[in-house]
Amino acid sequence: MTDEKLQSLMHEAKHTYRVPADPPLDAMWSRIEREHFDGVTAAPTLQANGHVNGRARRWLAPLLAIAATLAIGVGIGRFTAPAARAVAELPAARDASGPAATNGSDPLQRATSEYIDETVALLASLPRDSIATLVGGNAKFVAQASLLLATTRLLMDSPAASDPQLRDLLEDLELVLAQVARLRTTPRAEELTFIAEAMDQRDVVPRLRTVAASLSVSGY
Amino acid sequence: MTTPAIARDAPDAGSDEWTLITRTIAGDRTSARTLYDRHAKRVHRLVYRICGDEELSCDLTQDVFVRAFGQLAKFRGDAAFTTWLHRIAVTTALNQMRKVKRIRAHEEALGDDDHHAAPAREADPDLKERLSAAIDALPEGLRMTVVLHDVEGYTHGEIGEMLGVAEGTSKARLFEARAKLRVALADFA
Repeated sequence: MTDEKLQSLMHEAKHTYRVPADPPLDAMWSRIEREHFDGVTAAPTLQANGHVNGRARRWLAPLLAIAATLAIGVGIGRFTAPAARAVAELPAARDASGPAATNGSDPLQRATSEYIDETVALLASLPRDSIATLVGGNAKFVAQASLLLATTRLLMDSPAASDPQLRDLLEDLELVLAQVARLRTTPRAEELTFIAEAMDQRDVVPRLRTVAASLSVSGY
Repeated sequence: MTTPAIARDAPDAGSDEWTLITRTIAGDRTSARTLYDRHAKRVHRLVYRICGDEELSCDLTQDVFVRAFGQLAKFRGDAAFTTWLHRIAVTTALNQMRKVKRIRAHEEALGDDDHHAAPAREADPDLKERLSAAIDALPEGLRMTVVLHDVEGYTHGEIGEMLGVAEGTSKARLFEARAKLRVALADFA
């Protein structure tokens, strides 16, 4: 390769090396305006490698805490709880021993309750047909879904999954969250529609709300 | 109200740009938007060429403008506004890439020749693609220099400022980068 040939190639590289598509300038401006002029912290975003940035860590912290609590809870449960114990049965057990004795003493159920709240919030806010307003936001859903997916799998491997109803729900959630978690690159509108249809067909959100209400009534 | 001490004769700090900057510092969104419209695409392309990821580039471009507007009162006009803005862009993108590199250190070493070796000619016969792959395969310091100089058209002085190295270092890196590229593309001679 001669110097002249390389120079010619480099000249072409000005027009061929990593040429990006047109950026969504208006959507990008919205965040700049909010942050600079309104002092509003940006929505969390995901980096190219799938890791979240500093802003994202703020909202991810509670999710990570839930996952950590679940992991510990599952570990403790495996050693101490009867294998057949299910989260659905826990309210009765708590009633028998009194709220004071159980509130905060069952990290698994507390984490389950928080997990369900987070999942309801995520799925209820997932856009159904357009990502036009979600520059950066789609990354937020992906990151949240990835963590919730990991938590779902932890729960499926916990005593909570011995309850058939909850297990069915967890299996459906695993499917839906896995779909959301795969929206790493620019998703097409039909992908979102497909996810929305999967949720509708399985009544995922109503079932989640039922479980959330049940846990809420039982003190969590 | 702090006003920027912009040199009136700075290359692109014309009266119009000067007015926009001053108004932006004063909180005028329209002027800020005009500045953004003028420079956003170029900044986006620059950070994309550094990081190579569409979504991250959009995110970084936003970070660049948030930082730039936040520091606008400190802009003294020693250099052109474009140069000042692009320096922020390069710094922001490089810092991000270093974080990514640390996080992914166990997966692959970015800028490591072994991991970014150009594909075999049989697999990818297109010379332009081979050139892109060869540039990507350069160690980070060399790649940044060749991208900023040969692709983006910055001078060694500007590159030195952006990367925090001496002008001579930039020249030496460019020499080394080109030598590596010639070797990588030798079979196309």
